[in-house]
Amino acid sequence: MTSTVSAMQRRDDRPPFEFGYWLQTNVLSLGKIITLLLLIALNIWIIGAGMQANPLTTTAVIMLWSVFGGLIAYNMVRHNHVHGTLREVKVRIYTSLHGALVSLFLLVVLGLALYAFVRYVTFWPRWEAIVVNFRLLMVGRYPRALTWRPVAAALFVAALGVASLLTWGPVSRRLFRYRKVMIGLWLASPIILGIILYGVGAAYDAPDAGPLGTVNTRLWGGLMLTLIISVVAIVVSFPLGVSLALGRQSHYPVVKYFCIGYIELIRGVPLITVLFMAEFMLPLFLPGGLTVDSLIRVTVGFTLFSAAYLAENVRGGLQAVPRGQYEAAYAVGLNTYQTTRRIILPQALRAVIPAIVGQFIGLFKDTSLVAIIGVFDLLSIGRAVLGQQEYRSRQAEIYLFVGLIYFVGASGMSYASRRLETRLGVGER
Amino acid sequence: MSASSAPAQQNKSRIPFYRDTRVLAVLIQVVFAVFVVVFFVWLFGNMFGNLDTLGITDFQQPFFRVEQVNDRTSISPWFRFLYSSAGFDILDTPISYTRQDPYLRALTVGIVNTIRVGVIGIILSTLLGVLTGVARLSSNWLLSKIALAYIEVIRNTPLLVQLFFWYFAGLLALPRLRTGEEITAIILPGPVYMTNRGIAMPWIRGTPTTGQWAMFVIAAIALAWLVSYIVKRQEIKRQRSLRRTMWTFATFFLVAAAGWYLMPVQPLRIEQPAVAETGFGFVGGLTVMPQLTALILGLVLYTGAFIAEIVRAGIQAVPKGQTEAARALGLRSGQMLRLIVLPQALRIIIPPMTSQYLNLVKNSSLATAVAYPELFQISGTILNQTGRAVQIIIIVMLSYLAFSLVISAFLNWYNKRVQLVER
Repeated sequence: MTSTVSAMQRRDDRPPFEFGYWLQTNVLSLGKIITLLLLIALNIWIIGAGMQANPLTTTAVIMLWSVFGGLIAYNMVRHNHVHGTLREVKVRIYTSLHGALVSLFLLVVLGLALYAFVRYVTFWPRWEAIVVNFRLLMVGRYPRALTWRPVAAALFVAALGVASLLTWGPVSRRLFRYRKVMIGLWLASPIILGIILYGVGAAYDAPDAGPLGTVNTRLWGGLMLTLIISVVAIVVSFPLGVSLALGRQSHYPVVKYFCIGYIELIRGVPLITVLFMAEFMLPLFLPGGLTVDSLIRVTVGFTLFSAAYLAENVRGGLQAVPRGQYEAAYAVGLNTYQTTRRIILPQALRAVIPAIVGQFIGLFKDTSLVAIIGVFDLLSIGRAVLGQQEYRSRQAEIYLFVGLIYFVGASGMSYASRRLETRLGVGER
Repeated sequence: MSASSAPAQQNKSRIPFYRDTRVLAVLIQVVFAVFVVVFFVWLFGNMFGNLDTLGITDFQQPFFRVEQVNDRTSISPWFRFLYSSAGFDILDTPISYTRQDPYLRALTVGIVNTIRVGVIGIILSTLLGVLTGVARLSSNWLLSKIALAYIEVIRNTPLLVQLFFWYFAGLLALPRLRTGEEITAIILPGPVYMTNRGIAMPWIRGTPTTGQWAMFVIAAIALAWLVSYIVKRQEIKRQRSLRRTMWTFATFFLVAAAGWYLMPVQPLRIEQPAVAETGFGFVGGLTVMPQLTALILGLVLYTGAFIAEIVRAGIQAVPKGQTEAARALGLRSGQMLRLIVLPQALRIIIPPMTSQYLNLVKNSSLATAVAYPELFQISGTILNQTGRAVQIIIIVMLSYLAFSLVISAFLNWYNKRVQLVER
């Protein structure tokens, strides 16, 4: 009994395993990183050449790998890390006998999967479909001579994103006072993007067109279109959603039940039916002869859909604000608008940042649905590439690539959200 | 409110009507209502006008002028088209359907298919989600990290991309059943044949005695319930455990097994698939078409990842003191999970779980991407054939609203049952 207790104590005494620290002491030195990169590049080159390198190169590569492994082993011995590492492996993987069996099974499965994946990924010629059609996947059929405009738009959004991270981020508290400018820029971004991408004046191929000649949205496509729909729908649906949430809390029954009806109707039906309505039924609801651009119709559909979900998230935040806050605000003489704007909304929105960002991530992913109604977003262009005779069998590559782009975007947004949460102190009082 | 208590004072300095909140409240609402009504009248006015120019005359007659379709049914002229012959085939028909049947029948097939996908999807994704959620909390580092990787990858990519991936890169990329004379399908033990036309697997089939045996099973359930009730009363009386669960299941299995062996013919048998003589498809067993497999696979993996996070959060939200107290009382780990942790975690889990189930049913409309004939896909076909966009969209939206209402009503009822009754 005592031995168990002391063993447990010893277990608690040992410093927690830090993977970063382990990497730092065992793998991450400049020399080793360079060696590793060289080796990986060499390997990719050999695999890319169809595994037909001459025996001498192969031997050299194998020797380099051995030297590299040896270096790590030597380093571990020198820093007396062997014991710690082994103990860590034991604690994490060999928890008990059946735990060890589970681990072993998982290791085998994982190893096989990794082997298959690496073999698949590094077999270069298969990725040709993406390399050749990269431009198409990014900007669709946007005129080649005007490629700088999507690039400029992307840079603008990226700069806005970085500036937002700086403003709300941990770098400098002094930047925080520019937040209103940033919000203004975000709200103006649909117009700015419209000017850069759609342009002004004559059509781009007309003789008198300037550098910003208009480019019909039928030529837009790919990642560019996905991002445009997401950004515009996010920016516009935010104020709309907040208004709907406030409307749902309203004391005026007419306003309240209108908002409830709208929110529940939209939340009860699939997004694709809303998009279907926007694409095929909106023209029916407009006066004859008036046509609206397909891209605008789709974006309106997304905005209306997203606003309903956003309203429910914001409502959660509004309900979390204690009654005393309203009473205190009225007691110091603020009117309803001031109370909402200065006291209630800041607290309510802060409380639901994770939910709101989650909603935006969902919206970003959902933009892929426009592929069903024939708008040429990233996924749709991917499918168009698969329609080309020579790339018909490259299904997995295309969908993996499209999935990877969405993955990067969605992960990036959730990272930014965690950043914002710490900055604004969500969950702290 | 103070106005009524001090009318004399109020009369001297009357508030102008445009600052009186009671007047303002009415005024604002009237203006809002008028605006909304005018907007909708404008929209629908446009719609009727546009439909006239398109040559769709359904809406020229009033909705309530009900017409006789056949000797049993009558319907509003707006939905009269539902009784014309559909004229298209449906890939998967759980209820009888031919191309001569009316559109209404086709829509019913779609609704049944949606319900089927929804039920299978909800059951499987709950299983997967709970398992992954628990694996995420496992003390085995490797297991928990693999669960994490699965959850992150699935949650951060669109369902539609996943569906396309499973369908085009997964199921349609399987080998053909046979190339020439040689069978090229992947054959797993069972036998399970994996081909690009579907997956064939062994399946349970009934025999002539199945009906009689079912009676035995019902009797077994009744008896087991009775035994459970009696043992429970004894447990309460004697204040100690008499292994109620064991006795209940033992009764059930004994009666059911007795019934099984009393039957002259085995009541259920396992039927194995075999390659058909013609060389196309299979005889016997169960063949699942790739469209349905891809849809279920995609929906289950996607929803499962979300449910896993909900389950993990729910279990983590149970205070540590609860498990410690359970251990201190001497409960075994199974009992602890069943009696202490899960009932409390369930209270936190159910509300978000409800919205995941709703999402699953709504997401099943993406089946149209893999050409599986559920409600949305079939109504799309009907819309293309008839051009009745307004009516079709109304029917589809109402159907999905009904699904949502049924699911949330059921889970709200269940939620009420497991919620803590507070003082």
